[in-house]
Amino acid sequence: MSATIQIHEMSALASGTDKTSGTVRFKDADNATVDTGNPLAIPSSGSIYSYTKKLRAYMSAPPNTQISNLRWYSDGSSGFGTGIGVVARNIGTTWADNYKTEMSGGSDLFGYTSASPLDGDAVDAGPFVPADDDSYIGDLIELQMSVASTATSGTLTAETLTLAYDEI
Amino acid sequence: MRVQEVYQWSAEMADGSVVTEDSPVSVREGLTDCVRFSLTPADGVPFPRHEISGVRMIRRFCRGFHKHVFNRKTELPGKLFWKDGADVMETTDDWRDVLAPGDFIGKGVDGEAWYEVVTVDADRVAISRPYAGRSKPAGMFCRMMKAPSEAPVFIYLHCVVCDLFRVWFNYGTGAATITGPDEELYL
Repeated sequence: MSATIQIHEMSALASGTDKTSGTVRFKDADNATVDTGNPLAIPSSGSIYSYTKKLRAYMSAPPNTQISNLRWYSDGSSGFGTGIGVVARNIGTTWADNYKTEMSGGSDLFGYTSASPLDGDAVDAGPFVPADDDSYIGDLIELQMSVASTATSGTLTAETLTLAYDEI
Repeated sequence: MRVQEVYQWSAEMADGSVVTEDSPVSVREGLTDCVRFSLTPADGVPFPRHEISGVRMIRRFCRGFHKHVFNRKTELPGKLFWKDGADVMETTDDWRDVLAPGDFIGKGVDGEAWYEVVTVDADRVAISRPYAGRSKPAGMFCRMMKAPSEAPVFIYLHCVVCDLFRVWFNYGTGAATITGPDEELYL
């Protein structure tokens, strides 16, 4: 039988919420709740930052042989408009609590494309086998949204983050 | 049925043996000496059967793509004033450039329903059925969200690597794409 791989929003190294068909919402609070609370208000000057989000792949059904080559990428073009950015980085398997100060070491999410993806298993390298069923696989991916004073309020274009993996 | 189960694959080897996904691990990946590779749609799936023969095949693998949509729900630029049981909600501004008939609005909270927009006027929005909010009493303003037109997507490809090309079969459409022998396909 083929594997089922989910995307989880993490609250600890090995604990998270299935967001495969759900929403990851950047906000001014450290939780995975999807609501209208804690919005990111446009500052009068400079930039503000959301609490960071951490995503990780989860194996909810095992493959026949193995899963490998996890990678994350965007479509390469941000439709969020002026003043709004998202950065991402691979933090391996070292957990640290989410924070709202500016992330260091991250790169523009939209710089990660199918041709130049963010490596999803640099540390927890796999391959991931049936014995890894019901466990997290690959590395933690940390993301953060920034809102500058030049941003405009209102609706934003939806953007897509892709998790790709190979299976035998 | 999961997308991964739309097709079942089998490979007939030169000695007449048939390899499937239930075969031992040692033979499942390699297609050396394979004379025929088949992808058969599951019962009831209206996709074509695919077969490869007459070429030298090397190996096979699958590739999954989870397309997670960020910012799926967009917050409306103001509040709506609703009365318990009403199917017409008053707006604070003219939202005819924000909403259109066929959009869905709601609290955007897990477990809460979405309501289809029927008409949008300069000062009100009509929805398809009376609003039944759980957290706000009647006569209150409430902030709502607009559901996205795009839903998360899962794409599953089956790749057969041959001597001179690769064939990628899309389990979601039944279509086949041919690329160069060393070309990776990422969607």
